Amino acid sequence: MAATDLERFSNAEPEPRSLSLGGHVGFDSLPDQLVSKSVTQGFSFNILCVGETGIGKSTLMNTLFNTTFETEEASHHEECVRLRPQTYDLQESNVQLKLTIVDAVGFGDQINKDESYRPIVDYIDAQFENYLQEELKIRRSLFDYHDTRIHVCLYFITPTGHSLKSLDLVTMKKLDSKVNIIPIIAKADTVSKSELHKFKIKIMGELVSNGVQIYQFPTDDEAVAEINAVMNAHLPFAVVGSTEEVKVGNKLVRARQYPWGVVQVENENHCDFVKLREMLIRVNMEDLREQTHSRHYELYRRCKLEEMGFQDSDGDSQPFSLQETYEAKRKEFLSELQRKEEEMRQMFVNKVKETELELKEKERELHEKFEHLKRVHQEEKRKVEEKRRELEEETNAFNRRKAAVEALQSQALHATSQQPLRKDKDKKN
Amino acid sequence: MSTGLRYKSKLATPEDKQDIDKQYVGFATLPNQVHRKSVKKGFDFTLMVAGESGLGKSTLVHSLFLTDLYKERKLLSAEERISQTVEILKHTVDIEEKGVKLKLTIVDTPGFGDAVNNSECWKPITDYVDQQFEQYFRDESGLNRKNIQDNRVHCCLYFISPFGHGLRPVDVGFMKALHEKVNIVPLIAKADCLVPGEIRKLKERIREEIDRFGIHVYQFPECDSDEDEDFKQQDRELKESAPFAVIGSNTVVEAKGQRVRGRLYPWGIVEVENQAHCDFVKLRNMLIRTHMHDLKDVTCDVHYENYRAHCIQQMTSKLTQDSRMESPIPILPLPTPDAETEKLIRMKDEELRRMQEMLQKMKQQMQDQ
Repeated sequence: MAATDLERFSNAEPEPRSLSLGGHVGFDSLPDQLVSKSVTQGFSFNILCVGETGIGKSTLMNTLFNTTFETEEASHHEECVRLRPQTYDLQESNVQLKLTIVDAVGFGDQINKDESYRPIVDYIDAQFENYLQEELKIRRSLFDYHDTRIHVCLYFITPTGHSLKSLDLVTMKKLDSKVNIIPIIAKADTVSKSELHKFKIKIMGELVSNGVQIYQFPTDDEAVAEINAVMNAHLPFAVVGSTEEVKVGNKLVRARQYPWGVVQVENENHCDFVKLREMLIRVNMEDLREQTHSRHYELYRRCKLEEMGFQDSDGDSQPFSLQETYEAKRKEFLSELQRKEEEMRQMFVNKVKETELELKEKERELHEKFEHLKRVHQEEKRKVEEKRRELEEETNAFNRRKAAVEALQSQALHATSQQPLRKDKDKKN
Repeated sequence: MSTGLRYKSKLATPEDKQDIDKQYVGFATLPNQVHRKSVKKGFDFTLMVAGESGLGKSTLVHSLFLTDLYKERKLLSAEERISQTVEILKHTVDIEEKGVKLKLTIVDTPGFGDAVNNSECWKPITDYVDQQFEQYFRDESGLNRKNIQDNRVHCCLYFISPFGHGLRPVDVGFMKALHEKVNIVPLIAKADCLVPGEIRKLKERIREEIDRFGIHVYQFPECDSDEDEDFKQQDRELKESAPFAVIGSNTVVEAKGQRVRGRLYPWGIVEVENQAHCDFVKLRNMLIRTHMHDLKDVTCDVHYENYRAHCIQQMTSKLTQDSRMESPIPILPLPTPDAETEKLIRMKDEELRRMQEMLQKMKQQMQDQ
């Protein structure tokens, strides 16, 4: 970033002349001042460990930093990948280090691993977002800010001896543009030397052919260029971790004791642990931080701001003002909001009208029905009345006839009781 | 360590003949006769190996049977494996030792657990096992039973990764899908990455998880109480060291002046056949020298019978449902109706039933009106 600014200036103005000094001025102590400032400030370093459960991530961290970070063993039956950051304060000589170790718990355990990479990517983006927010604040205190951006991702490869797993490839492709990836072969004491050589070549071949960009140790600084170049050829490092100490010869060393031999962690013949420690901590830690800030963070920032609609000044020579663009954006946004509100209100009003109409319709229908029913009811009532009247008449008629018949009967009886003989006579006749 | 051969064919000697005349009936020679006949007939054994790629399955098979089954094997790269499906590959070899012939079939399952999404990746394997059972079922029920080929899987070696803390969800899923169909023998693969203390812990973990998830792995049969102490001791050790932690090797190295199968590391040499280094010898003895026939028996008597009973039950329940045939005795699976025609028949029955219901409804409606 500093380089490009300088170019711009030098295009605009004549080149500065280089002069020689007549005596010792003393600004060669500038780096020392910088160093003492940063030492008093303290450093922060964030490591992300990605690998299958049980592959040895915590043990390796303990071995690297020669201490015991208290972590509980993860189970294999987690529902999904989650990230567990833990921060520790370490001190060596007079240098303070705020170390954050982020563990991807549950990685590689699920049966369906399609979405395994997502929580990791989201976490990294969230840290970038936090930093971006801090940068964009009006009152900001960047020197005091606890930088949680991930500086390096140690990707633990299972030592199958054949090649990368499909999950490894997919995940590394998603992560290579967001974080510095250093792939390492875990539990390397299960791979013999010849197999290891073939395995490393296969892995690097697969990474290259799939376009995965892993972190290359920088070779532009002469002081460390040589050693870095050598180490680059040894990637991925095959490591073994151990916190137990075994007596070898007359020394106690960190090692793993097998029935057939002792694997010493710090023996270069046995594994690449020493190389990893050199590269990661002793030589390139600062470079990792710088790369994270200047490459990965800047990429994130650019994408994010472009999303928000900002653009760099390409054609115009007018320096673009964040403020103005921001204001314009804000106005746009507010007017959008208002428009949306209006729309919604309209919709609401329309809906209310519609419902009113519907209700009225329904009311009318109900009325009609009611009328109809009433009429029907009246009809029925009338009919029933008529029928009742008929019935009454009939019963009356019947009663009259009954009375008449009874009267006749009683007369007849009376008559017959006075002339019973006549009847017999009639009969005889 | 005594190996399996206890009975050797022998002819009766003159002294025996005298005994024979006295009170000796002679059926004590039956085991010898069995031995002779079986040697003549030859044996067959089908072994399935399953587990993720890179756990040393082919190397172990090579070490067990000392033959190279996988001459040209194509290993896929990581990119190709992202959405790989599981295949079933069979390799058959005829091997002979001291006149005893063995037809060995190894069923390999490349691609298991390799894809990014492994849901139901054990389905092709269960289908294969069921297919073999079905084939045997048909053969057994057929008319000509002279040359039945027994392709049923007798044993499945399941490789558990030593890099974790125990069983993974895909391990549990696989074992639960297959434990009622095949004898599962779980193994801890690549055990040369674990120190003895870690091996103990891992075995305990795995045993505990197998119990917890209710997985039925192959149980070694109890030995008779009249066996000698040595044998009983061996049997006990065998049971206590399950699941076996194995290491395989294709190469022979020099160790202490001897040529042994092993792996050469800068810090030492792992000997495959050294009991202190791994349980390979125990596995080999169990699988080949002592329990091979028991594995076959359990497959025939337990797993196959379960399958057969299940199959027949399904058939009878289908028939009684359709009430086409009343049969008190479960069936001679006669020309077992094809799945196709059965489906058609069922569909037609359904249609008929529906039409009847509709007719009834219409009748009722008419009545109401």
